[in-house]
Amino acid sequence: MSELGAEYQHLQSELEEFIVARQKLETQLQENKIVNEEFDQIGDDTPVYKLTGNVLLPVEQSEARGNVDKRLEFIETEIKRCERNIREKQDELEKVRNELIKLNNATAVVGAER
Amino acid sequence: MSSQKIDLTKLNPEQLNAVKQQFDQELQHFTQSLQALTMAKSKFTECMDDIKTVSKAENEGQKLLIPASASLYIPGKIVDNKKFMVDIGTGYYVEKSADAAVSFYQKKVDKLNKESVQIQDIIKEKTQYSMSIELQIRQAAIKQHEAMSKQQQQQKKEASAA
Repeated sequence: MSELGAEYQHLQSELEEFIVARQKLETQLQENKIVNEEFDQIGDDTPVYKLTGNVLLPVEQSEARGNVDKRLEFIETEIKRCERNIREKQDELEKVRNELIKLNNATAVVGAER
Repeated sequence: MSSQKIDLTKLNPEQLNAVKQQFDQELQHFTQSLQALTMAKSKFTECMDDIKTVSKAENEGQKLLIPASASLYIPGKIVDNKKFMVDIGTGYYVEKSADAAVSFYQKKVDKLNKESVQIQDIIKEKTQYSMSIELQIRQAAIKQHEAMSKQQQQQKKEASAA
């Protein structure tokens, strides 16, 4: 009983971790989307710089665009992976919860019979 | 957020307290978000003011001290007060004219304003819910108290009858 309860709590904290990770990815996705939109609006000859440490280094616009595109792609696959993890954890959690309820009812019946 | 409706009058005091705690937590979360938005807004507004000041005609060729680190400044001169480096996110900076830079920040501020209004509405709604739960808790407590005093009177009566 307590073992199952501990497992349930453990799963719950794992699910929470995934949800936090998912939120972080969403923030990154939004930021990169904004950058991408901004790149679409600027002229072809507009200089683009990248903050590296404490200095601004000039970068080719095409390189910067490619970088952001790649990052967007990466984040999107990460989000898919994370969501799959969340769904799996939710299913696991559901299973354990049902077992817990079953066990609870069983002990309640035993207690009543006594 | 949750679509299911809960009849508050049917909950016992412990449940009511749990619901109230959850609401208060959500409320706190939204209040923090609103604070973050307000801070971001003031940062952008500051940037716009700076652009407007620097791009003034009389500030062309103006001498200034450039912060090289938090504690070191280097004397410098404004070479071009019509162009600005704008942080567009994830470490990328783009050169923009004064007008374009101001409108970039203005757009951000407008967006933040819209979101602030949304969050304020949510906060108002949640505060109302929280208050009605509080009321329900108090009523439940009064009911419990009345029931207890009635029971005591009953017991007293029984004791005096015996």
